[in-house]
Amino acid sequence: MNGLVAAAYVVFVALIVAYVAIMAGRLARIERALREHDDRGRGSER
Amino acid sequence: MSLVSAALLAAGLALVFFYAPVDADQGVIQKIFYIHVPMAIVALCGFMAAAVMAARYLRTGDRRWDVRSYVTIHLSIVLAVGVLVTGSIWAHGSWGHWWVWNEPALVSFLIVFLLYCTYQPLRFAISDPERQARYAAVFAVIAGTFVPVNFVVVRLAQAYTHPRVLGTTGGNMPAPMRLTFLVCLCAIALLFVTLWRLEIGAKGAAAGLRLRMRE
Repeated sequence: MNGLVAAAYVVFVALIVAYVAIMAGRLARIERALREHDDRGRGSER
Repeated sequence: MSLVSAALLAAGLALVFFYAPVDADQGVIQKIFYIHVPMAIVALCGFMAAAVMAARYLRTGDRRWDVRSYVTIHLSIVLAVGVLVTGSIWAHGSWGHWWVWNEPALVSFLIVFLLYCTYQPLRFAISDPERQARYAAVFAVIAGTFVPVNFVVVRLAQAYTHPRVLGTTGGNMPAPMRLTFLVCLCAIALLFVTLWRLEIGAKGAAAGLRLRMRE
């Protein structure tokens, strides 16, 4: 019984962690793309 | 906000494991209900909120409401997965079966879940962004009105094996259990809002990037 309760809470935490990790990855990708875009812009200005 | 959400979640979990008494009838397996029921409530409310946002998009034509509706449905589906998995674990411990097909509460929730699972494929099957948003909004409004109707029908149905947590009598939970349940409900609702804001932020940043790329 204790194992089942632990499993349910692990599922809950895993869902949230997976969601946050996916979102963090997406934000990091956007940030990287923005930086590259800005660097390209600065390069063409020169 | 994310700090408050994490703190409330930690408080909820501490209450579940160190404060709430073990249920005399079900034993320790009942502790699953402190996440299972709040997740179900927040997910169903999320589907209904998405319908309201979609209706606002249809009325105003403001694309932000469509994005809000989309993110709300997306997050509610994630919570619904949690509801189905934790519910199955509870059912296995309590009834000895992972799933019971003649239980209206289980089957109706599965129908709602599967209905919303078709939202994303349906949405992204349309390439024109304007039509995509409009059709998705119509789907969200129709599906959203189905959620409360479905809930009422399940409540009226007979032959329950699934327990009623919040009955018409107001429930007969002891005070420590009620407090723990309410803290968990608030924590999961706040977590939903925090994650919603995070995803909306990511969508806004992506849209901003696309705009800068075009310039």
